[in-house]
Order: sequence, then structure tokens, then C-alpha cells
Amino acid sequence: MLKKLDPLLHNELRLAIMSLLVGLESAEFNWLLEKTQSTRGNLSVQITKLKDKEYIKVDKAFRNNYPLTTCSITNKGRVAFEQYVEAISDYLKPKG
Amino acid sequence: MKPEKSLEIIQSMMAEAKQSFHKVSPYFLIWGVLLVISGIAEHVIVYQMGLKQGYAVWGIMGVLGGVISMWYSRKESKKQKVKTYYDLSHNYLWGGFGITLFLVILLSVWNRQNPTPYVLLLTGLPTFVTGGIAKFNPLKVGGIVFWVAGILSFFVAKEFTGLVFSGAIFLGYLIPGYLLYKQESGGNA
Repeated sequence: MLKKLDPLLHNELRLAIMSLLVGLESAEFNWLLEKTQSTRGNLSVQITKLKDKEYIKVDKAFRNNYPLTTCSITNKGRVAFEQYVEAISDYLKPKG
Repeated sequence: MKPEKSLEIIQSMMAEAKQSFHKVSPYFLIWGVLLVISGIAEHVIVYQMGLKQGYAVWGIMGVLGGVISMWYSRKESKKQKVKTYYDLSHNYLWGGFGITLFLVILLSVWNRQNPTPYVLLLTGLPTFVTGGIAKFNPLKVGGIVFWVAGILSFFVAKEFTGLVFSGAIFLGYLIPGYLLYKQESGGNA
């Protein structure tokens, strides 16, 4: 039987954010914006959703008097991502 | 969203993150130039001119290299939008190497021993590991060059260890550093 896909990760933008962060120690908001080619508002909303579920950690600071938001994946997020990839692999396996 | 689309997103985004490395070649070039000069200067000033004060060149170049490296590192960190695990492991490896190197030199001088062979043997480790992590063979070869030069410098007369050191730095830091610089600048690393 096919595994149920995590609804939080089964969304284009949230999956893109997690796929970027899984290979990194941390990334700035503007870098995520550039790579996902999303809008500032939408990215912000999806980051908050991932943060609320503790899949990512969000740090806010200042650099040269400008606000700086940095995101990093948590252990919980990493496990959820790995389980999602595993589940997706099952869907993509040739049936027979 | 179809599973195929999910897989496409995962693959493309992970590939994007993988390309976010930072340049390490400038450090090899900075230290390479300073240390090649130091080894030759030691040989000329101490052994050709007979001036013991010539050993001070190591301290001067060490401080100069430290200041330039810290300035470059600070400048680069302001531009960095991403921190990779490669950067993290690199920082710890070379940071740990710096501390060990400082202690080895301090204790060797304290014991009135020539630190050059130990410094060369020690330098082989982070150079070789960086080459392995970066999948860059010239640096791996550079690490081996340092180990060979370290053994060699145990057997050559003391006045020539500075020259062996300079030769090893030229082959182990400067040449791989320049090749890495070309690769990093080309965006193919």
C-alpha cells in the first residue's frame, strides 16, 4: 500500500524551500526568494507554516541596519523530508 | 501535485543548493605567496648572511597572513547569503589546524627543535582533506607533497629546510591554489 504523503511538504513552494535547506547549514530569506522565484508574501507565508510545524528554524537579526531573516532545517524537518522522499519513490516505482 | 513534479522540484532545488560553495582558493594563494617568501628569506638572511634575526620573517609573515585572511573572510561573510556544510567543515578543519600548528611551533621552539618537518607533516592533513571534500585532485596531491617534504626535511641539513619548505608550499599550495582559483572563477567547481 502506498504511504500517505505529508500534506505540509506536498506543496510546490514548501517542498522547494525544504529541498534547498536540506543540503545547507542555513540560508537567507532573499536567497530563498531568488532560488524559488516566488513572491515575498507567499514565501513568507509558507516559511511561517514550516516554522509552526517545527520543520525549519527562523532567525531574525540585523545586518548594516537592515533586517536579516535566516532559515535552517531542523532534525524534525529533515526526518519529515526523508520520509516524504521515500514515499514519493514508492509512487514512482514501476507497478507490476 | 504529481509525484513526478515533486521529484523534479527536489532534484532541481538540491542542485541549486549544491552550487552555493564559497571560494577557498584565495587562502591558498595568500598563504602560498607569503610562505614561499618566508622559507627563501630564512635561508638567505639566516644562513647566507648569518643574521639570526632572519627567523623573525616567520612571525611577520604569519601575522600578515592572519590579518589578510581575517580581512578577506570578513569581507566574504558579508556577501554570503548561504552557509553550506562544506563551509562549516572547512572552517573547523583549518581552524583546528591553525591551533595545532601554533602549539607545535611553540613547543618545538621551546624544546630547541626545528619545527619545519612537523609543520610540513601537519600541513599535509588539511590540504589532503580539503582536496578530498572538494573532489579536487591537485590539492590531494598537494597534501602528499607536504608529507613527502616533511619526511625529507628530517634528513636534510638545517640550513636547507627553509628551501624544502618553500618548494613544498609552491607545489602544495600555490599550484593547486591557482588551479582551484581558475576552476572556482569558471563556475565549474
